[in-house]
Amino acid sequence: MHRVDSLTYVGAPNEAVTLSTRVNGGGQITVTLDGQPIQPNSTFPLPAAPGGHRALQIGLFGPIGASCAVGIATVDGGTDGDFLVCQPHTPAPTHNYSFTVAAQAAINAFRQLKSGATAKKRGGQ
Amino acid sequence: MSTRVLVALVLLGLSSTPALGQGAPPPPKAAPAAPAAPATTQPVNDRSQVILEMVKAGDAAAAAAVGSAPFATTFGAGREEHIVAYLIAFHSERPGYRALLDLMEARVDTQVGASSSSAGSTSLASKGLVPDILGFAVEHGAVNENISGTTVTFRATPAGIVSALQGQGLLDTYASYAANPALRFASGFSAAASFDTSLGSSSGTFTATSKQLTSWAVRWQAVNGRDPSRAEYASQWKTSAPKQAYDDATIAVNAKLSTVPEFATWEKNLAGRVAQEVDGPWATDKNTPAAASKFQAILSTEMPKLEKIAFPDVVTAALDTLVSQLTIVENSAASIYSFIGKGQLLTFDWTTTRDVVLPDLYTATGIYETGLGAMRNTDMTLNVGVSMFRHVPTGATHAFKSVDVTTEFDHPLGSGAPSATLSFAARYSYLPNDSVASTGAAMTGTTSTTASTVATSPKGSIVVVQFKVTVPVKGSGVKIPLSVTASNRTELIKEKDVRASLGITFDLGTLLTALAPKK
Repeated sequence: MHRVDSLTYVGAPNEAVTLSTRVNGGGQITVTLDGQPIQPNSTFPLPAAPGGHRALQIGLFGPIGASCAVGIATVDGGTDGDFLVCQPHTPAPTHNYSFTVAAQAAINAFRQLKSGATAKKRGGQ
Repeated sequence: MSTRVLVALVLLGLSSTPALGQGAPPPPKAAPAAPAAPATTQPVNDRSQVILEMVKAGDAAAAAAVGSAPFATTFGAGREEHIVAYLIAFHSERPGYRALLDLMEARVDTQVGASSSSAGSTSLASKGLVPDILGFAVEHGAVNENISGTTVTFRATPAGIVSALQGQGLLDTYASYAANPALRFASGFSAAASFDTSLGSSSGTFTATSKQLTSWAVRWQAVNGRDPSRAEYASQWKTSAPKQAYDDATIAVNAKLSTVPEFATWEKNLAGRVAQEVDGPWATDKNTPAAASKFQAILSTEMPKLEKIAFPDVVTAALDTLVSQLTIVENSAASIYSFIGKGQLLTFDWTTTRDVVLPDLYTATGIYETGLGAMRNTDMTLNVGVSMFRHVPTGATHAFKSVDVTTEFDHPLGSGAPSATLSFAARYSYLPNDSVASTGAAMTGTTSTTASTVATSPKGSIVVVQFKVTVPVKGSGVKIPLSVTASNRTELIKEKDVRASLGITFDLGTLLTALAPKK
């Protein structure tokens, strides 16, 4: 799976997505996948057909200072982190994650493209 | 001893915010909606506060080790809550926006005032609450010569002072409490000092000299059931979590924002700067303060550019819907905080009272507070204390003075806010030996009037009961208490016949948050 933008990912058909959450400060989270509640720490597959899409939503509600650290794996070989925190002007942060399925060939091409861009960036430094 | 019934009419100025437990974020009680005004005339504090919260969120994300780009987790597609908050603050002239912002910013705390034994106090029972930052109370006491004049009380938590010195506002301090168990424990301790400004060489002027110091106290909060992060309140947060309509409104705003090319360009530029100038260096050196500082500087430059973007009506409409939903969320949170604010408190207090003509009087008191009923509408306070002099005073036979038990019930009359409060309080004191008590005679300048300042207090039991109705004056922050006090003896009644008091109470914690320039 690869990150294409903030909270936006593209993966291969049937690729497994691992979600991990860690809540602190008395907050309570609500996690839904395509509108259905799921466990805060769970694994789910992407659709089998290219073009398929899954929508993950994590909402946090609690006292000021309550927080939730989120990990999405495997993204670009590691874990993509996210963070929600209840603050006076953001009392109930809700983050929406988008997962889109692309054909394996397209994923491979995208991987090479990202690898090349990363190598080029490092070489330029 | 004949029973005397005394009536007190007391005007007591109080700050307009409700009290809550120490270390607990206060309830976001609805503040009166400010009249609508163009955004350009609003103070920039709202927007500055949002920027500050973004920085704090990035800082917390870095501490939580959520990845190599913690500061980027505060904005971007799918997580625009801070951007939305900024836009709400900028468009505060729109209907409902200002009221929502006031709700968001109303999380302030108030708990100041002299202890029940101080000269200017109007209550029988002490409350176990402790101000979170620094409580500064000035209570102008009675006009009657038998009731001492002006008492100034400072009470502070060491942890709160440290936070204040670090430049943290009240809300930051609450967040620190939530994140740091050690700090939360330390915040259970507090100290207080009371000064009588009628004493000393500059009578009527607060000089904080030892001559004006009339008491000092230390307090430890053993149980704080008013911490909203406690596990016992998890179900309330869970069941009151935002509903589907809120989620839909959030998604809608995110979607509408993404359709505005100018906004997409702005956010892409912001993301680039944060990646290159904040998260990139942080990933290498892990210098979070430096990264946070740089992030704040970038936001201070970039966020105002949002104000120049002409958002289409669909974005504004989506924002309007979200504001409505956020207001529901805020009111839910307010209800939870209100309930939590009536949780159990168990506090131990040690007070040393100084007197010109008597030895220091030590008083150890246990204070228990809780809300009674399913909705905790009735406040119950119980004080149990023992008092003894530092040494046997002239005219007494023992240093031990008394055992005191006091209880108070406060019940709101009506469900509206503000509503009057009906209070009943009773005190039972047992003096095992003949003792003495200060009658609190006035002292002028440097010359203390020692004559008649000490009265014999024969051994036995003393009972005092008090009924009080406190009527708030809507929109003014002023409350008017009317009380009737009766006793079998008069030693414990502060009022003599009829008195009127006018007091002003400040909470510097509140002022610190409200008045300090936002970064």
